[in-house]
Amino acid sequence: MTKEKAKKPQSAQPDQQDERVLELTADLQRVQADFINFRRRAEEDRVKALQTGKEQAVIALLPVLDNIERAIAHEPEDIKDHKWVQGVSAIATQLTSQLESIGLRKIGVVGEPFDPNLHEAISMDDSEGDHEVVAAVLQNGFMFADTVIRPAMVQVKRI
Amino acid sequence: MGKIIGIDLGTTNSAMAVMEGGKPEIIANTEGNRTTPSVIAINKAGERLVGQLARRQSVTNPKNTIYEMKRLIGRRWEDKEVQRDIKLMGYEMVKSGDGVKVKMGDKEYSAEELSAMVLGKLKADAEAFLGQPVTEAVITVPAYFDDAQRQATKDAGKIAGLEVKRIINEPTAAALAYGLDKGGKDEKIAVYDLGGGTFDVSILELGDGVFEVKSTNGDTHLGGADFDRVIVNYLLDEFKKENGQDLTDDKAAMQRLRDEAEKAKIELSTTNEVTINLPFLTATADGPVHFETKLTRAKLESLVGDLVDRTAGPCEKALKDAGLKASDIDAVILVGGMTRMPVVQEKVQKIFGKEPMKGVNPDEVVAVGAAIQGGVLAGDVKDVLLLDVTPLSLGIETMGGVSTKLIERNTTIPTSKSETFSTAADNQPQVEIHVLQGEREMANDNKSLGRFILDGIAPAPRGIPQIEVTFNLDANGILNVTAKDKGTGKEQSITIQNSGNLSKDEVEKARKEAEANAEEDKKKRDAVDARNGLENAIYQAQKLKDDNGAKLSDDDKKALEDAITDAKGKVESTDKEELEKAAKELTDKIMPIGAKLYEQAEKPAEDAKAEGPVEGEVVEDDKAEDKKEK
Repeated sequence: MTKEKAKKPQSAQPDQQDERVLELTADLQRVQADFINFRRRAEEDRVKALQTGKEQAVIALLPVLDNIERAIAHEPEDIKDHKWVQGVSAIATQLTSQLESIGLRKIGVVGEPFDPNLHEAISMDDSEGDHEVVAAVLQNGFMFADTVIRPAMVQVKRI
Repeated sequence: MGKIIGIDLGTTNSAMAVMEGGKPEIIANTEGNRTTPSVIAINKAGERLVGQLARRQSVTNPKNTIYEMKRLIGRRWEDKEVQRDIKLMGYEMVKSGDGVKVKMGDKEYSAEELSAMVLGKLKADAEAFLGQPVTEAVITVPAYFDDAQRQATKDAGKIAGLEVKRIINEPTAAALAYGLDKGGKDEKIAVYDLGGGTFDVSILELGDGVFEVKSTNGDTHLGGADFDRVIVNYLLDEFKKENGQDLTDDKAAMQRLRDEAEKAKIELSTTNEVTINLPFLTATADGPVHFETKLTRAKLESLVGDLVDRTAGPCEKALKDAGLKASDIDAVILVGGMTRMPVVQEKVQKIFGKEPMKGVNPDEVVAVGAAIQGGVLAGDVKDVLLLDVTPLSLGIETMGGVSTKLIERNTTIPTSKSETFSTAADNQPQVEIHVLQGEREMANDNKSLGRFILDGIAPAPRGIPQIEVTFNLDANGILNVTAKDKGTGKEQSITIQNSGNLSKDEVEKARKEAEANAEEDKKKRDAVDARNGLENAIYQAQKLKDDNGAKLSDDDKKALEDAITDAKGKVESTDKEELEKAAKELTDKIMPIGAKLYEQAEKPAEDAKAEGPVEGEVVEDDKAEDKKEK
């Protein structure tokens, strides 16, 4: 042991001993409970860690996905029939479908009801109505498996 | 028994922690985040949203999205802080008696009720995390909170269904998280807290384990948000210089700039330069416009320099009010995410002339301290429960002079561990258990704690007897080692009184030695493993020859004998490659001969190793070894 242990003096008094037994039993129960909870969560964490690892890798790729999509959206009219441009577009489609196959799903569609679970509102149109809907998607959101890893950045309007 | 959780109920974000197994642990919310925005809202459908969800919808619903209610808790309508906040907040405040209420949806709420909604979410998330009901909490408040504000915070807890066991000061919680109360000496401590929206500095004095707040100061409207704003403004200017275009009204571009500014700020705490790369940031009639620029740490520091300088005045005032000089301060603690910036840390060091303490996450340090206080109140934190670890590994010597560890260093004690070993030679009558302590690979390099002999092992081929060795290390460091022959039930044991009785220096020395020699030791160890492999191959070859002498053709017999002689000649080598090569050559030669035998016989020959213990885990016995070689 690298340090001195603080030991409580042993008492000969029976009632004090009873008290000590109660105290130590309580301590034992507490440690036992901590341990059981810890074990339960360690198991959950183990399962989660695998998912989180994949999630982190996908999240790091999202800005690239965004920019590829922006680039495709800005495809210049005059070269759009060029074979090379078509090839690059095909690669972008391939990347998207590969990511879909491992569980990445785009969220945020114009016209759907606004839902803060899926959307992050960055502006609100001046409009009247009882229903809030997505007016424009300014940046795609993504779900990976069942988790929203990034909410869609949206403009909201009322209808 | 229920847990008492520690809650840092912040102006912009809240965090919570709990003691588990004697250590504080941050509780993540159900969204998986370690902090929760202190924001609530009621949407059109009348649903109440708390935290991240409330924040995400705030622009759609500014009148019914309430934030920074901590600025209002326990305040009176007349207070000048309230009068100022009325102009700043996006929601409506109303006078209620002497106090303040906030309109959300079609109802009016007190700041206590609003804070209770945040606490309610924290409580529910803590219950999900812990898997048990949570009814008690320690909540932190700024040191300058008056009685009314403290009482109101307590009431907020009550409304949320939490019994607030204690309200403690945020700087005190930070000091607890660093264990400053455990030092046993009286200290003067400065706590520098630069959060999302507020700056606080407190001077504490610790005496007899009790913290006293000597003075506080700060700026209620200075924080991370201001830092982000100057960076975004700089980027806007740069973009305008390059493209002659103002992005202020382009909402999507602004959001991307804000995200990038925050990312750059964080990265520049560890690197000296970042590239801000925002392709297709916006579009004009001429087509897309990209933005790429470099931001250096020096530039960032010049941008936020004024903001950082603004913290110096309050620090000096706090020192003056406490009647102290900077040189009187014994420890400086940093709180709040902004204190991760090197320029802030340098400023703090300059003000107090002392390097700030590091190690606890500044976003979490207050919640951690509150949890420690909760643990003390619940009786979780008790000296009797502090468990020791074994400072060095414990094991036994095995074949080839290798040290085989049974209990690894830093294992929490009491603990016990069993492993089954076997003999190294045919008909070996006894094994010697040599108990070792240390991190080195070879037995000779470790400390010998004792040895004993287990004899009376029934005659059997090597690898067949099963000797179970059990290490039992109790809470006082007393080690009991038992060896039991599973075949005969015979056992022997030894008790070593002071296995753990080492000074810190001795432990450190042993650890350093092991580290320094790690490569050399590994080579030696690998050579021994390779030699054990070769010896095992020789043994198998010999056995094949002895058991099947009559069935083998003369040619095969001769080939086997030659191969065995060859291999034996190489056993003394200390070169791992050579030993492995020899073992492979021998095995390659035996295999076709063995295969022939199987073809001849209807039933396969018994494989002696099949049921034995793991190869290589063979106890060495010097005498037996000699016998075998003779």
